[in-house]
Amino acid sequence: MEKPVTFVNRNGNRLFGMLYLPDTPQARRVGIVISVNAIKYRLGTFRLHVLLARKLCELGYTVFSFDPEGIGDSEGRFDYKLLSEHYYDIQTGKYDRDLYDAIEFFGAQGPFDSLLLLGLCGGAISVLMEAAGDRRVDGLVLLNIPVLLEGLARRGQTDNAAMITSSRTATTLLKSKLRRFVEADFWKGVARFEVDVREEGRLVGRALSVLAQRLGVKLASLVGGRGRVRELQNPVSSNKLFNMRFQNSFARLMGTRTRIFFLFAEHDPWTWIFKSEFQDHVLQPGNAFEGCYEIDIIAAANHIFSARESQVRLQQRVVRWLETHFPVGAL
Amino acid sequence: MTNETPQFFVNRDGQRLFSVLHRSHVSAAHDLAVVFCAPLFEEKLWSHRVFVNYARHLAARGVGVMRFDYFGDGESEGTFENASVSTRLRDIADAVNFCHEQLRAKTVCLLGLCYGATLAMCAGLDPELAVAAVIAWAPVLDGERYINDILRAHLTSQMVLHRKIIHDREALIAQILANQPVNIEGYEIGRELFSQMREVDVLSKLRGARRPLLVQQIAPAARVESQYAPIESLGNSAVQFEMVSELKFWTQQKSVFPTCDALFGKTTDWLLTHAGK
Repeated sequence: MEKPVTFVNRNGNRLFGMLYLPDTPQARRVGIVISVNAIKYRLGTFRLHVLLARKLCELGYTVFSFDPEGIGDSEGRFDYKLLSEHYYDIQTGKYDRDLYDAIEFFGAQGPFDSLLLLGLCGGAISVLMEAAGDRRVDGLVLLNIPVLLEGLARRGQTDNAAMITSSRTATTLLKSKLRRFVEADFWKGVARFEVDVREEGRLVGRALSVLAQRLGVKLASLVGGRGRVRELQNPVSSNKLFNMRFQNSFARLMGTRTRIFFLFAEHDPWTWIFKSEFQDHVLQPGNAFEGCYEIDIIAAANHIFSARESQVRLQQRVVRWLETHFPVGAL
Repeated sequence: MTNETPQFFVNRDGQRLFSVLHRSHVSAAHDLAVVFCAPLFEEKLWSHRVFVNYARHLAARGVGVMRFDYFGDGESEGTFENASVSTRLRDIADAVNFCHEQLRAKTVCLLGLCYGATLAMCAGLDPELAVAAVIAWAPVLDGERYINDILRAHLTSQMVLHRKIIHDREALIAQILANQPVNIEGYEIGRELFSQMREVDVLSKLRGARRPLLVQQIAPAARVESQYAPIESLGNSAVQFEMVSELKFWTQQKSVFPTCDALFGKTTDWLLTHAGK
């Protein structure tokens, strides 16, 4: 059964949400709160959250999605800002308090034996940061989590160079640039000042530097650094946009042995940024956190898992992980 | 705190549709309510907050509002691929009737955005339905062109995924017509929706319109877009055309702006003049 609800957050604003309640009582009650992604409201892109919530509810999970203050149907102010500024705010904890209040409201619908949070992109980083300081949370499902911050210096222009972090992305970019540089149209564009030569130079320079860095890492690992668990007090990535809140939250959650499922899409840049900026440094085989987290990639999927097959695989992977670690069971 | 009620209502087919009723909280309330008809696809999500804020703007001026999700959309029952133009028109009619009952409004008007505006015009011009006036924000007048633009998104996805076009536009259309839905950015477009979107002839409906109808072009530039040029030469005094200078808030923009002051002001003035008595 689906039930529209409202609750009042600590600022006195009324927030709107939807409860998905299983039709049959469960032996173990597991609750899942789905966060909004960024600024689109609780439905999720192409109502992905609704479809996922309905599927999980069918299997006996109790699910809650809601709009934070200023988003969707909820009360509150939403500032007139650049989209990139909103993304930055979200990546630095804008939804923390509303998530906390939502868990409070949702918990009162229980009691639950386990409480989990789920989010995609901005929603994933939001729930990770919230859970890091919240002992009520037992597990996280993080879809395409961003580990870099929005680069605000460029006033709404994406910092494409900073997004090149893996040898895979760097090689793809260099190949496409090489192809472009031999085209007459490219040089005609340069002559007509239609090509941003500075930006082209930044991209190529960044790609070359990433390849050199990766080569260095490989050589170091051959010399004997492989399998070493990195300390998490200092940033593991040298990327100027690396989000230390991500790293700190992850470290705190590993300290409390909170289970995390990282699920990525093959064609999402965040997949490869996560790998090059965090996974390759911290989550090498034999690391101290093994057993607490799982990483999986859905082949041929994009950032929002929009293809029908991607949606099916997404549901299957999430359900498999939930049934393994947080099973429900009919009475 | 606002007086807003989220709830489900049941349409004629027994399907539960999600809605939010905005009851007016001013003492000098009008006997007037407006049913909002949301756009389709991601336009619904990008524009949602503007809809919410305009509903609050009207409620604060004594006008009740009902916002709702069509069958197969938002938090309503059903799947997108099983919904069509005709199911949405029926849902609008059911929402109007529900609004008459729940808000006890003597007069109900329709307001829609993009394809929601097209649906609002089609539903609102039906003499059987108790609607006093229709406001169309940036309506789609050429359904075929609109659906072709949407199909183009599939071609872009193919380029990203396969670095080449595997199914061109004609192949996608053939697939849809063969009753195999095509996934456009997560939305499964089926044969009925596709065919009905192409068939709707809005201009001929506007020629015969007898109820007050306001078509608002919403664009930053102050020149008439080609799709709206025929409206000026319709020769029907019931239909008014107006240009409003605002960004196209139903698509992704560099900035996020949850209110549109010029649009809100002009729409409310027209609404209260034509239906608020």
